[in-house]
Amino acid sequence: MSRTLMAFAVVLALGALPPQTPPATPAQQKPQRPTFYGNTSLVTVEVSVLSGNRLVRDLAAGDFQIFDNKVAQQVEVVDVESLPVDVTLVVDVSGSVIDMIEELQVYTREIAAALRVDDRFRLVTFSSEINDRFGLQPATEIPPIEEIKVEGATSIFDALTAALMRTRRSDRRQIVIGLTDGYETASAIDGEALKTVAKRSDSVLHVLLVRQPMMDPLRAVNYPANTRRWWLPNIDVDFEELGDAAHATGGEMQELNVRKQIPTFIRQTLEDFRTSYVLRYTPTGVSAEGWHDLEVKVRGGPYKVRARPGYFVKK
Amino acid sequence: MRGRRSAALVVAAIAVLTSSSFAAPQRMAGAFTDALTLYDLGEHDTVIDGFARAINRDPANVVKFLDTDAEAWIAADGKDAIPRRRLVATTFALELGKAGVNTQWSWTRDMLEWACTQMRKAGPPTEEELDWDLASLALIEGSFEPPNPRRPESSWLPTHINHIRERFPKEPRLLLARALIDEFEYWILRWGRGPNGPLLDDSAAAAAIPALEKAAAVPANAKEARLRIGYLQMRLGKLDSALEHLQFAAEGDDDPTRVHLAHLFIGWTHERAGRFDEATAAFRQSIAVINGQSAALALGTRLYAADARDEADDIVMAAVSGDRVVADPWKVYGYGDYRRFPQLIARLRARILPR
Repeated sequence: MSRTLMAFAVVLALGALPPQTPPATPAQQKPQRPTFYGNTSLVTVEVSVLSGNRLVRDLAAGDFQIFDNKVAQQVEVVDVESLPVDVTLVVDVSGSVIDMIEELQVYTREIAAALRVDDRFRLVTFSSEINDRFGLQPATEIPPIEEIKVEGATSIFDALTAALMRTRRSDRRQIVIGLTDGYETASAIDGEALKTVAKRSDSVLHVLLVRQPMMDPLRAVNYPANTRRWWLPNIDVDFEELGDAAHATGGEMQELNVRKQIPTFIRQTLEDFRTSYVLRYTPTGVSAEGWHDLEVKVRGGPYKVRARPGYFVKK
Repeated sequence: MRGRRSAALVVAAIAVLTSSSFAAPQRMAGAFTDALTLYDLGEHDTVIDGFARAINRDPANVVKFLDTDAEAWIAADGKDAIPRRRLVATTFALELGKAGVNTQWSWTRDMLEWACTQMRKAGPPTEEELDWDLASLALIEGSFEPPNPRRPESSWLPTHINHIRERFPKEPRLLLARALIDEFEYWILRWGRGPNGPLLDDSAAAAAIPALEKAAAVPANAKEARLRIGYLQMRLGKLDSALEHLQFAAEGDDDPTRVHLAHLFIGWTHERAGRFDEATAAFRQSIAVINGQSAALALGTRLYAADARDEADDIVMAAVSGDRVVADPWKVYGYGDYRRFPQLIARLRARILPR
């Protein structure tokens, strides 16, 4: 592969931000891939820095070190506050959440209401099937969400895979938040395929496993459980794979034991994402193709750094 | 005139069926007879949708009124009208059973048991009865579970097969239904999990194949039986054999869901063999027939991994976006002929349309 092609692939793989990218116009409905200029490729990495449980703010480019395949890179920091966010909420509406669907509708409305006017919001629901309810909408124009039917099995791997494939526009950031009780029962996609997509996705994925039963235990006893799992051989049902997929994007999986904490958690996740750092660099001194390991360090403290562990360049 | 009467009945009956006083016996009795009359007038969706909303309220009463009001309704228009009215009432019961198939399995069984009894006490077997039998068989396959203490109705599939065999001893679909019982036993063995993931019992998969081979020997069953054999062979890792069966199943156009699934399984088989270009081509053929989400995701993931990300996104979005979502044949594959239930019920509805 030529260097030009390689660089283009890097841009595609990470949704990089070229310096002269023109601002998007309202007419741009479909996500646009960034234009690539010359022989320079840019890698973009979303980074959260924590001291304990608190986000560390006001860091400058000089505070960061990025190693691309163990080779130190020259870093610049993007002004993240100026970038609007596309938020995709992926919500479990399978039969097991039947007793909390009204709560979920309230939470969804609260989350949508907390967005900024230039943000966009997308709601993807999943049970046996996946449904992108209304596409990406401006935060000020979200349609009603009352007509959500709760029934069927749980296809969380399928739903997250579909959500993560969305291409990011060059002038925006993109986060996917998955909300489920975690009982994967019906995906056609397995954990490996989800991770394959996560590694290449433009989005940061956070998964919230709600451990407080979403269904009344008395009802659960009598709820018909389907024991014919013809799809099961296709899938290794393992929550760790959800966590692995989230980590591959620079996000994480968390468990909640109290349902009422859901909106607080999601608002906090959004706020953390909005104020996290966006680092960019032009790869130098590294091979072109394949998987690149990334390591991000912060000088001056025992910080916890959360960032995608690598990126992929097409061979 | 009929249209105006029909509309008024729809409003009145469905209001009762979906009201909080649904369980009040007198009101329900009237509503039930009205509902049957409306159904007979061709208001199939309206009546069944109304009942589907109401079944959680008092399913036991509905069974009771089937026994009393429905029998009276069948006989109410004179002897000559009984065969047609019987088919209307039993198709009505079949559709009520379908309304409970996801959450009210014992309800489904009760509906079908009543209707099956009606059918068997009719005169000589007819084509209409066979259509009803095949649709009811499909519905039971959709709710059947291998023996399960929590599911006393689970033994009803073999019983129902025997009922149909008494009336139609040469019906080839019964062979396939018997084979599906073996296949379903295989699926349930996969419920377990071992320390390294799902428990796979290949011997159970192999045990399911002979009955399917017997069914496949009859031309009417061959495509479906070989689709299922091909899938099991893929699971067993016998990829060449799987492809041979699946390619046979993919031919023809009499059942789009079968052709769609055959191409999907061919794609999965090629994936297992590491032949990704062939897998991609097969997934494309699958979604060209029906844009099922499982096949679209299989294709999208394959394209995404190959860095064709815009195309992957377009394909997946076309399958998951709002009104563009279609029923995914893979999600009902494990329920045997239940996949064909929409076509089978449409055939019955056509037979009972008002003259």
